[in-house]
Amino acid sequence: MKEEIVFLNNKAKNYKLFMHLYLAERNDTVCIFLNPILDEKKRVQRFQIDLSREMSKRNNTVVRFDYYATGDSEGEVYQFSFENIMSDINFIIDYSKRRFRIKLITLLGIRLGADLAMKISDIRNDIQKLILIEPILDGKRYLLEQRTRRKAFFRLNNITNPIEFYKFKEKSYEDFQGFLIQFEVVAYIAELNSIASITNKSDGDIYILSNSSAKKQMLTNNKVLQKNNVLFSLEKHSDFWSSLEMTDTTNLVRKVLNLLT
Amino acid sequence: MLIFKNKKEKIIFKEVCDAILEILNEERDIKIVLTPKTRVFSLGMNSMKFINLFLKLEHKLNIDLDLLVNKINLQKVETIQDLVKQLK
Repeated sequence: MKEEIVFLNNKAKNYKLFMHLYLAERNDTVCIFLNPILDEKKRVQRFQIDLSREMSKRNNTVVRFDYYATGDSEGEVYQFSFENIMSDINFIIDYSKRRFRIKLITLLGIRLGADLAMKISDIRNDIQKLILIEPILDGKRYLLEQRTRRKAFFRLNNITNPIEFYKFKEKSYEDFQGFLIQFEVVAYIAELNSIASITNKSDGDIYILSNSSAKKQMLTNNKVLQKNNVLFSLEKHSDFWSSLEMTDTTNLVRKVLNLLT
Repeated sequence: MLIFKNKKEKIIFKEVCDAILEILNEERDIKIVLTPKTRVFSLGMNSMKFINLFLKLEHKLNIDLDLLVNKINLQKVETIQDLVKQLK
């Protein structure tokens, strides 16, 4: 097992992406992790590292990377766009297929990353397996949760006249926990409806790991769980992307490893 | 201690306390007695724990999140009692 850090140029966009590879001795699968965004990204890091190392020990190569304008990749957070994200994911999939000489890829997405994984698998036919950890499913609700958090933050810090919206170089931004997100991106998230995406899928394995019974109900109501390629699992893990990074995610790691075998 | 007058308020109080304790106990076991006068913002709650509280209340009280958000004016919440009054 070896680890490698790479800064790779996304030629279509001409910027550099940060990549962390966990190289297995044999590539039984190659799995690309798709990150959540905002402060959820930082909170899943520990889990991703633990999982990557365990996966690579078991002959699954893992590719972790940061989308443009997030983490250690080029760009500032206000430059974040979904057009770039989609380009980055496609670029990393193509790179991984070439480098590891494989035809099919597994995508493991967390929160918004899970919804992006579904979106990508709608347009590509080389995605073998989707592992979706707490997908958002409903963009409007995700925004509502983030905005409620913002309200709570202001209240906790006794900020009575907060600035929630900004204008910068002719573009408008909304503040999400200190991350300035372009209005266009917010509108894109609002329109996110991944249930439709899962409903339309006819092949491939889809594993949804969630501890939300409401989410299970939502998927049941939409007849997604009747499909034989969708497995939903209620896991008794704490919401690690919403708590501190030190949260014990051993059980979740074990669960994902089981899904790969 | 203020006793809630009607049954609905008592139920909401119990659910709010249960939800807060569940959240506080996620990280470590905390022995704490919550009363209507307990100040919500003195419990070590951060914004993330607050949204988790809303999500738990959505489930426990069977109220949609958007309705819950509209009902609760956080600027006017100091104690658990304030929260219960707004939720009833």
